[in-house]
Amino acid sequence: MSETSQVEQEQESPRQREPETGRLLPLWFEVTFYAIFLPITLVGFGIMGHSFVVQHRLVRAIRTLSGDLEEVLPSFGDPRFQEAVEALMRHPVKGFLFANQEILQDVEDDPRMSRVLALQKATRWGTVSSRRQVAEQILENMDEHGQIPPEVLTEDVREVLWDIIAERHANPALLPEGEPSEQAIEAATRAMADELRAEEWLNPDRLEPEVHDTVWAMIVRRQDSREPLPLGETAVGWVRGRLTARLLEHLEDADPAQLEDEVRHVVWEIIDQRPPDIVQSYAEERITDVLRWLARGVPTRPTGVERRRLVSYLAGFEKKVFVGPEIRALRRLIAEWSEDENPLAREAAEEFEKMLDEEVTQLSPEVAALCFERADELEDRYSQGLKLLARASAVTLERIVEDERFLDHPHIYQYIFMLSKPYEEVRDSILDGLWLIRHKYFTVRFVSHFATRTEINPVMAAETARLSREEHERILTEQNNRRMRECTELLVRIGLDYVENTDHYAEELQPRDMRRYVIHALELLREDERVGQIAQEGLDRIREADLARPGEPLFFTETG
Amino acid sequence: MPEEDYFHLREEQGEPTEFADGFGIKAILAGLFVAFIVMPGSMFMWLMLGQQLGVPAVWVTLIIFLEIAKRCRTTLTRQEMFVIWSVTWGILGAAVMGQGMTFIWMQYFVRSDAAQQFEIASQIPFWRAPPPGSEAYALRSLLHRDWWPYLALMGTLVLWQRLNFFSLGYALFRLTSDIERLPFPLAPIQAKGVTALAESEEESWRWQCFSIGSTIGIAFGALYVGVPVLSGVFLREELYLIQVPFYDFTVSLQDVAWFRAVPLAIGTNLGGVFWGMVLPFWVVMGSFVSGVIGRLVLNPILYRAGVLQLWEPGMDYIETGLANQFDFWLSFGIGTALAIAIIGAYVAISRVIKAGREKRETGISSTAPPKGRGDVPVAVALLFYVAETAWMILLCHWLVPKFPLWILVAFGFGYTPLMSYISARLSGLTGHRIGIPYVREASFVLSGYKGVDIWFAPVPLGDAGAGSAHFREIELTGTKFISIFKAQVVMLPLAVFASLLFWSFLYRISDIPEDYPFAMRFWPRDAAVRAFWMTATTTGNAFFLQAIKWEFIGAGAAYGLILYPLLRLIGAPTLFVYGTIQGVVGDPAMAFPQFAGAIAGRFYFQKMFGRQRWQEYAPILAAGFAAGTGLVGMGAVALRLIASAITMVPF
Repeated sequence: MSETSQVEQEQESPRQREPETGRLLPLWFEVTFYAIFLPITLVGFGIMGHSFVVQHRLVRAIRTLSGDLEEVLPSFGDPRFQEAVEALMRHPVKGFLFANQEILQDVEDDPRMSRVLALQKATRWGTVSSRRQVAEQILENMDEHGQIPPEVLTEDVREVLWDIIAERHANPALLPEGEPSEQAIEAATRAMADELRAEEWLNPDRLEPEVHDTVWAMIVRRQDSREPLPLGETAVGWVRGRLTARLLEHLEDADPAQLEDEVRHVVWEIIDQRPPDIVQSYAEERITDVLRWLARGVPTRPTGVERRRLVSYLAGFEKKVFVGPEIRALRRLIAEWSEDENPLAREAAEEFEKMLDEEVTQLSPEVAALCFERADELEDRYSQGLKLLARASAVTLERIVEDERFLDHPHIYQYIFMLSKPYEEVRDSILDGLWLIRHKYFTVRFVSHFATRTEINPVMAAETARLSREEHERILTEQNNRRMRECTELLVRIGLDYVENTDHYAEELQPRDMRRYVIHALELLREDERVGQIAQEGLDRIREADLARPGEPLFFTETG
Repeated sequence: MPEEDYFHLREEQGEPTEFADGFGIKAILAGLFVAFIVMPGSMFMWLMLGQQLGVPAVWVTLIIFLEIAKRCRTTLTRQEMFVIWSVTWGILGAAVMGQGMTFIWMQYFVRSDAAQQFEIASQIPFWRAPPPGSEAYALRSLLHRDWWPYLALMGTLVLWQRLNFFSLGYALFRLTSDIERLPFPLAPIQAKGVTALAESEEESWRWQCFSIGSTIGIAFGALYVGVPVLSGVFLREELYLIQVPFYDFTVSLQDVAWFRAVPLAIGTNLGGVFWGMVLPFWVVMGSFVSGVIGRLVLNPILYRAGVLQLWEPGMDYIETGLANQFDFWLSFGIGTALAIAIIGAYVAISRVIKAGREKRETGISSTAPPKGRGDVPVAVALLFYVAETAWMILLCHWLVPKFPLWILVAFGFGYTPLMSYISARLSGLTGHRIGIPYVREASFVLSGYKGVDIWFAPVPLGDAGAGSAHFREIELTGTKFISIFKAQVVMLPLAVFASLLFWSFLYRISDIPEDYPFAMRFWPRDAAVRAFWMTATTTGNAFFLQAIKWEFIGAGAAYGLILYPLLRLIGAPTLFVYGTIQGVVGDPAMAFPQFAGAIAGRFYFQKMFGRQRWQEYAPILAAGFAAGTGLVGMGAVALRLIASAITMVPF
């Protein structure tokens, strides 16, 4: 390196830096700065404070409408409903968004619904825990190649396996809310019949009194274990219940031996119906095959995949145990019910403790009935809350339209998205709201988008803590179908309204837009089995109206 | 307790005693040169090859202006050089990583398959991008009125970011540098590199040192960057004489019984060796111990204990690192960050109390800024920050009114200052910053917010920690702070204008990314990843929340809070603790070359040149190396660009 210059030498041995002792800025500058920025800051914080208050009031109004664990507003006419809606109307756009956001919350995040889910799981816990125990027991005794000693498959074990198989055949995908479809019931019945028929129990030509007694015992016994109702449950319980219900008038105080013909015929009538095509994933079907092979007492040699399938089946129980919000809800229930006056509640609390420890246990029918009752109450409150929110949202939208306030397209998108909700009144309110903004370009465009969305994106149906991928996919498909139907009907209404009141749409929607988003969409949907009829009838009505209108038709010609 | 061991590092850095203004006509001319000549090339190169001009362009610009100055028989002082450096870096950053690029990216994202598939496209708000089907896309015009809302928002965001630098960044600099006296070990690299260039005419020892570094950089760059890039022009596959960026031994290591879930790779960038020579020795040792040895020992234990569950045999270095991050190290790193904040608060408060005592006794505060540096009162900077953050919060609230306001306030006045301080502290001690991943995402999901617009909102979440290191660089070159402020005021609008102008032009002449190979290849993947993240607030499915484990956060905090006072009590180097924290959050592959550099520096070069002199040489060598490598890289990429352009001609 070269010799250092004098500058560098000085730099290498720097003098000690002098600290700044005087003012860093001129006084006039500092004063001016504070004079400007202090008020700006104060005004900013003032506005922030006001925004906090507004947001707090909106959140409070939403909470009032939504309700809580203890109560919910009974009706739209209630003064508190009016008061809450007024609070939302003071800031209509924000009120609209807040109401919709509350409606869009996930079911398990609502404290009432997390209790409902927990209670439903608790009522099924006996079945679930015993089935898991059976599966674990089988797996413990099965080697890598699928070999299992036949003595492991006792009568009790095989009965549990048959129950599982019947449930898997029932295909929850076909369940609309509240009640299983006829097809689902048929499917479950058929599944049971298949297995029973293998035993030739119910062949009318072979029914003997003692066999009839066995059938009778089976019906009565199954009536005792009331199956929990929907939110993903199967139709098997409905089959059993319905079977019993149809026979009830004959069964009360009746001697079973006198009923053999009637029992036989009724049962045969139910079970001898063809099930629809059952849609299960490939993996699910293979698991069912293995379960059936086990239930039959391993009649054939294993193929080597049995263990792996059983492990997959067992993994599914991860979703049947209590998770996240359900655990918290159950703990709160334990805390509340263990001090309750009702002995059934106290008994339930003890059972819940065991369930949290994942022990095999079963609720007694009385305790189960208490759980169902409480779950129904909570779900009622939840649904009532949703209905009130949806109504409030529609009312604020009315004010937005009156005041001609700006609504960004993502908000319209989200609003239409909510047509997937399971409660009809909620959907009706949303449809009322959409009708108010039917003249907007993005309303028609997005309604058309959702109407023609015939399939879900499978990537969105990811496994969650609570749901397996298949279950999630089923739920999303149900929601999509529901929304699709509503949007198709709405498209028809909008199409008709456009033909009759074209001038009202003139600003934003041209006939070419309507042709693209309404007419073509309905034409596409004619082939869909879910909404095809609605689409076809709708198109016919629009065509009729279009041809009948004064002046040139907008969309159709006489011949096409 | 003994004094902090890094105080002496600070003393050895040779702080200037006088400061001068570096802003003038030369800086303006440099800004115009970069904005209208260099920037368009950088943009084009980014789209075509995925590479920016970046640091090489900065050095080239400096050298060009230096030579022009010589021809004009004038000189560039080091302050002027540094302002040119700062201006160039700022303008180039705005070109590709700044808001101009966001326009181009958004016009693609809205129309991308990923956004359609994940149902995002129709939910992007008007203040971020025109809705799908807008005329703005058909006309390919970034100046269409549908873009105006975002144009207005963009201006506000750019302003906020810059104001943050001068407000919170400056306040943190005063705290970490003037009060805590942290060494900022990497700051001398830039500062002394610029100083060396400024003295090139005198052929001082700094210039010679810089030349040696750049020669090594050119030679290495030719092998590391030049050969692969140029071979890609002539051969079917690129030829790598040295594996880039590391040699991966992770899978091979899995054959040895004990080693499970250990990410083992050796970085091959020689720049790491130079960094190792510059960084404090004990920081590098700590980083190596935790990043390499710690993972070699701890990861198998954690795996066997069932903590590391995501790892599977066959995973490579990156996959193993990601899996382990998710299971353990991310949470542990969060805990160590909290420990840094607590320790820093303790040290800062101690120093302030001590300074107050000194001032009462002597009338002079040891924490007072040096004379002539161009400082402002910290209260002014903080008031500035409070004012602009309050209004940014209000803006965000106006755009996304459903989002809980208290979270925005917590971000702006809680998280951002805290994390900026932690980041500034770690940068001041180890040269690297720190961040807690998923904070933004977790807050969006846990707030219960439903919608996609929040992902595009100007949430007041940032890290001003880098600002403190930059202020230290400014200080070391003897440049008055007001120079940088003036440069920003003048150059920022220019940068934004030029960025918009050229992006508009590129977009107008052809749809992006259709005609650009790199963008065509990687943008769809990036779009899918971003769209997938956004589904966390539409579906509620937030897998990343599972990565936050409170017990491991506690373990990380306990580690930092126990080891630090222990080492101080026994007089051991506390920089070791910070080094281990850096090793936890950093890239283990880089720990190897840094370790080699630290050992070579400490046990060989220091003995050869003497400790003081070697500490003068090391940052300049590193600066020269970066310049040399960058020059080779830029040349190679330029040739590749020409080759690509030729092959596109249809004859």
